[in-house]
Amino acid sequence: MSGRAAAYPRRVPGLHDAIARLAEFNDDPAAGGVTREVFTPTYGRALDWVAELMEGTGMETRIDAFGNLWGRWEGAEPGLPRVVTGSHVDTTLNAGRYDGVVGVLGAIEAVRSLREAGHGPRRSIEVVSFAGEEPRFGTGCIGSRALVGQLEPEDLERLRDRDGVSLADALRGAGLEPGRVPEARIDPDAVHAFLELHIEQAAVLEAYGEPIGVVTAIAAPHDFRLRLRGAATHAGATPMDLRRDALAGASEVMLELERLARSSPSGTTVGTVGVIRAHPGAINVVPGEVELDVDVRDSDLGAREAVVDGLLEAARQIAARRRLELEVEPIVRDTPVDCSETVVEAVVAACEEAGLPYRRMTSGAYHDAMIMAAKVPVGMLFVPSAGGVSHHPDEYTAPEQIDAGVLVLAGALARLAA
Amino acid sequence: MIAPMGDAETVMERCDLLARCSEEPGRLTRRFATPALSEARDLVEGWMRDAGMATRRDPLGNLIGRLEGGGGRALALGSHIDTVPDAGRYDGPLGVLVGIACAERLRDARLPFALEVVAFADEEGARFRTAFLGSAVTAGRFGPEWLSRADDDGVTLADAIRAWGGDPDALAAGRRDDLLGYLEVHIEQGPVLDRLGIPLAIVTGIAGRTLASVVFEGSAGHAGTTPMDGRRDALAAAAEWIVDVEADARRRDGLVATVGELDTRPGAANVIAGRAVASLDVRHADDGAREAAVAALRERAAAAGAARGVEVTWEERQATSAVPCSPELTERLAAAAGADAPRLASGAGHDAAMIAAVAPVAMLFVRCRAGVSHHPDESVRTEDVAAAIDAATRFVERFEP
Repeated sequence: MSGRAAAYPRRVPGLHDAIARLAEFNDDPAAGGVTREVFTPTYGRALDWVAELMEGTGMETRIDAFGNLWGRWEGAEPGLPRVVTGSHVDTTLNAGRYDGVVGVLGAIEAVRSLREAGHGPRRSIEVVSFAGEEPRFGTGCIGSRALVGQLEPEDLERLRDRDGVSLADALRGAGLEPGRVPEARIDPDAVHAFLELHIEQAAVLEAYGEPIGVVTAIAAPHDFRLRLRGAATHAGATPMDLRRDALAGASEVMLELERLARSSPSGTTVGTVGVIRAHPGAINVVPGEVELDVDVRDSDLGAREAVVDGLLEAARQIAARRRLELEVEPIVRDTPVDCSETVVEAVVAACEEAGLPYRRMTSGAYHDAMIMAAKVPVGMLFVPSAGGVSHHPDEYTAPEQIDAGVLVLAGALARLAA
Repeated sequence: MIAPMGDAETVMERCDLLARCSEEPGRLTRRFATPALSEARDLVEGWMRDAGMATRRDPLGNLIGRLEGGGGRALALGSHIDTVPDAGRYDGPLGVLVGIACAERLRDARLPFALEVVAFADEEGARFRTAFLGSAVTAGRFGPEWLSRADDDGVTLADAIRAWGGDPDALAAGRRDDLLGYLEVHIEQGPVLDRLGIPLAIVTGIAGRTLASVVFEGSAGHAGTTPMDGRRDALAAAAEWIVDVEADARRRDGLVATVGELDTRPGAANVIAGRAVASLDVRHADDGAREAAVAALRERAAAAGAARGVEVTWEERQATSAVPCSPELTERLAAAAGADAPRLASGAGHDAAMIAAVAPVAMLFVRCRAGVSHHPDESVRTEDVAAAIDAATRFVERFEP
């Protein structure tokens, strides 16, 4: 769709209709939520639909070498570094309909409202829909990683989804050429700022009754896979004291993670095992091999690394005591990010202009903004999540709360692009 | 008479020959009523005849070799000749071939009873997911409703029985009320004898078993934004319980408890598990001890859940009682096997547990390397097989109807 002429104005659905319609691109509606993983045919159709929405809003669209979708509203001085906003429209499994989507469709709505108000930015404004914020391939934010040069050619073969499909093959399936991925890299000097609107995915704003969160720092994950190998033996014929049960060992490791994260001195460390696979996975066989994916996060890098180090040491001791082999496979180790003062001030000014109360806060979730921060100044703003629920079908942000976020986003973009 | 080591070597060679009868190239898979099983049964039938036995098949297709003696009733030796997918070569066939070796040795002994060797056509249940089909027919415990069960290709059990020459309408006639006793020789499938450095064990009984599914229902949530004290992590609750299961089972003599399957939902690295389902398999030779352990593990699950706001649902899927071996036959077998054979309860199920419904049973375990079974690495020693043939032969020679 690169270079397709933008026919504006065209009738486009309102923001809230658009959110509802995007949720219909769903691979598992029976589960009650939305499942739309990156580079699936369903994701491809959803992205086409978003591109049409951008075009209907007067933007020129293109897909870059990694499959990120870009919509451009050209400024009065196109040679100036541009302002970028956006988020992602892929989802985790059986997710809600707002995570990421609000930041893409909300950005399109912000551009539409600015145009309607007759605003003409000096800098160009681009809306980006990142390919693969959720970790289908074990690592999240692969679209933004491609932009900042954090994806190496060997990563494309190494990263695999739960069915063993490599990222390279998934790219090919989406009509992209893995060898050309480096072409997706952005020139940092050509980007003035990146600002991402997102649902909070926590309950702090709700608890304080505040409509807007101005993010000052983003917590970062340290993710790795632990593999424990024992012996798959007969569940009836192997006495308890002659077992090398990999699942019992893995369970001890999981409890230790819970204990270490709960007692972390920062008070903000979280540790999670969301995926565990026990092999051979038969009711009458002692598990001989177990894989578990560990996710530890904090905005306090030192506290996070202390939990990781403590867990790895505990895992080594547990494995030694149980005569299990332990393997540690790194997945991702990101650095927590401080947001750009310039961007934070633009968001604060937009809140004050709109008369909306706001709270400065840290993001516990990581976002594409955290990756973009490696190369460009970034900022984020949050809208409330009901009950803090996210990555779940019950995820909810009320339409008027989303509207408030879009109003602030538009104001901040106008300031940054002026 | 063949030299003792000689017939053990023959048994080992025959295990190798049977291992070639497989549904799949390159690995051993021989399920019920397949051409591979027919081929294996034909080989076994030939060896029975070579040992001087008359052969017949029952309506399911179990193969029976018979050496006539005084009186019409028979003492039977046997096991099964079907396998799990990607199996080893000794689980089942060893007991049948040791039985044939005994018959060979005793062909001219003029025993005061008939000696039979039975090759059951299905014990593993790999095709129809109903274990012990063969011995169930012999024990008169075949459920007619099983006939409509289909395999993965949609073939019903009734059609499979017909296709390989059996008669699904006559299975009731397969019941044997004329057996004086049943002896099953089987590999241990566990590591105890290998650890002890002893070739044979006397089996005191087959453990009873409880199978359950334990569902932990918490709340899925974002792994980055949900503070530790605001979580209802189903997998953390399951992990605490799995550690408890192991610790509790270790404290109870003779008990084994296993969590073999664990499924988490939604199953993404950045999402707290909202649901975890664990399987539980508990076995003990004493039903009371097993039931007490199951009750304790159930309480443990509830406690692990309650500590995290996770709901726990306990679904008992199956409970089978322990089957003690016949004390009288077991003493005779112990005398025949020699003083150093330890006594073990069998944690694994065997055809003997079915046959116990119609005849007194005894079982002899043979050491297998590292306890490995249901795997191509399954391995037994020739000298251990010789010891098993000797013990079984003495048992039969001294048997008094």
